[in-house]
Amino acid sequence: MTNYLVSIATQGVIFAIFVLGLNVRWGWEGDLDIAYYGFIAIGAYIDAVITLPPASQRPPTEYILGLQWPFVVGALAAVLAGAVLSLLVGALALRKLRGDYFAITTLATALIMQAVISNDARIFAGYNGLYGLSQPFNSLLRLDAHVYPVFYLAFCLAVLIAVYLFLERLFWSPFGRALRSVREDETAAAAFGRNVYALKLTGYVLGGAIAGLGGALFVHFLGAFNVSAWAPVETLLLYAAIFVGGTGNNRGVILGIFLVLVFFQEVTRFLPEIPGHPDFGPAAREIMIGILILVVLRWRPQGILPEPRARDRDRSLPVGAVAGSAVTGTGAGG
Amino acid sequence: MHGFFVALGFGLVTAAILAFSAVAFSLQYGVSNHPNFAHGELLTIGAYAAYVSQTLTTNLVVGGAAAAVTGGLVAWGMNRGIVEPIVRARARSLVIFIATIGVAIIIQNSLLAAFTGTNVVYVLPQTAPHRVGPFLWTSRDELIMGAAAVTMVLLHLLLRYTKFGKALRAVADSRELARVSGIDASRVIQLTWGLAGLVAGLGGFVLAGRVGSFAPSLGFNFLLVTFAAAIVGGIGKPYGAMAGALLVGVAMETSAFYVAADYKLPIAFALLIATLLVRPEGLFTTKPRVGGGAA
Repeated sequence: MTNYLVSIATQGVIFAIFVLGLNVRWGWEGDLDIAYYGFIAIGAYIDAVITLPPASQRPPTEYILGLQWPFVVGALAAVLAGAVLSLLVGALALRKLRGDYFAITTLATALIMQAVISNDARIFAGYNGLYGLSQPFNSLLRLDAHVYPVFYLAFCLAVLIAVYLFLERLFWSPFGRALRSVREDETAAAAFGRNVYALKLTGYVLGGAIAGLGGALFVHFLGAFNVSAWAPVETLLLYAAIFVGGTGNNRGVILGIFLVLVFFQEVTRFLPEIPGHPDFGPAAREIMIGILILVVLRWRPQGILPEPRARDRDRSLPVGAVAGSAVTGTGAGG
Repeated sequence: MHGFFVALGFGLVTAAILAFSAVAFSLQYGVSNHPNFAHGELLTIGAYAAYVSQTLTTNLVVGGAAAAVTGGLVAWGMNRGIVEPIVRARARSLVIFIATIGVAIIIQNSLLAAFTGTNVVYVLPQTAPHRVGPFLWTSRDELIMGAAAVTMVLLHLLLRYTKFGKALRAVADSRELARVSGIDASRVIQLTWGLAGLVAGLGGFVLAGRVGSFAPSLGFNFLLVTFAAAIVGGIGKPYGAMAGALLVGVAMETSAFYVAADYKLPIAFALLIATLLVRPEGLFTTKPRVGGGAA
């Protein structure tokens, strides 16, 4: 039972990291990225091929690198991979495309990535996928099989807290406020001298770096990773969490992902098992994700914890002196 | 060269199927100004409707009619029940897009729950392939292309010569101006959703008939190809979408002659991305669309 709870909690913590990164893209920057899971996948893959032993030791799978380097290097490379991929996609797509067209482009990018990785089994072992990942730090700690998951949960939690604190600072920083002003009104932000493209691209790369980091943690949690693990639909669960928790609000989206995960964990327990129909359970789960999204969008688009509004940092100043408050003041996100 | 023409012949059949889907998507997007992510599921619903009708009769016309009517009703209902209320709440355009993603997930998985993920079989009767000029087609291929040609001509007549067609084009150009001149824009939008669903349902029917067996992911897998054709042709332009379907369909199948067939879809997506980056208003237009969908 404890093992089970630790496993669920670790998954929740890792998903919370995912959702924080997506919240930078969708919540702050306002760009709908349907391909977010692709950035998690690239982090997972890169970390895996750096920490795994050479492919020649485990035929018949083939993959690049296989350096058997420590987890820390793998995780850093994953962050870098997420950032570089975001830079490539963002530099092309964010320059001209907005709204629907941007979203469609991200989806096309993810599907191209998926097609290439599935069909060319020499890069990341194709459909078979990578397996047998190491337990980070356990070559030093030598914890036994019951204790290690608790350690890994604590480690992931520490990473989550670090990411959260960083993003919370960033939220109120000039960069965070400028990014959200771009979301509210691009033209007005540009008129106030903001470089819209640079701001959006920075936010996009930041989101991708967090996704890569989450991917690295995720792949060691799962122990294996293949193409079917990151269908574009998976991104939707993260969006459901953002809408439920509160678009733009760091604390809200973390609350959202835990609520959504616990909700589905509990509800799926009461679903009937239909003999000979193994797709029924997963299908019912996806239907509920869809309904949840529609219900929240329709009746509480701002979520449980709405994005905090810009506050007067210095009360001694007269009201009019708070420069740019008309631009940085944000309405209900979404 | 022989192989190339066979591939080109395949491409024309793919283009015919794609034309149904892309024209429907483009009409609905152009008029309502929100892309429908659940568009692929309209094709899937059409395919399953044809499959279910098969248990009553194997008549092709009945199969096509079942697909069209079901697609039309579902699209109309989707707009009335889900999209309209969110539009009325003055949500951001992207929020409406996400709502249609939610609808897509719900429909696809409802079909999965009802019919399981195992492929079902729906085969259009066909003769052995025979030569037509340089091409190699079966009677089924000819039926699909014929149906596409007839549907496109009917759509052309509808858009060009009926009062509804005129109103539809007016709303697509500018909703405000259409309203000022006495057109009931929201009614036109509702009917356009229905019309798009009808054509998409038919598209699902011919797609199912061509692939022979399918699962609930049928339409979703066709969605980005549809986006590609509609965007290459220019959103909101039915004739552009037809040309886009031709270009994307032929490019996909003839490319399979040069590179591995697994890269057919990536080639369509690359065309899509290239068009968006270089000429987002579409290849077949002289001026950017007013009230654009790119905003």
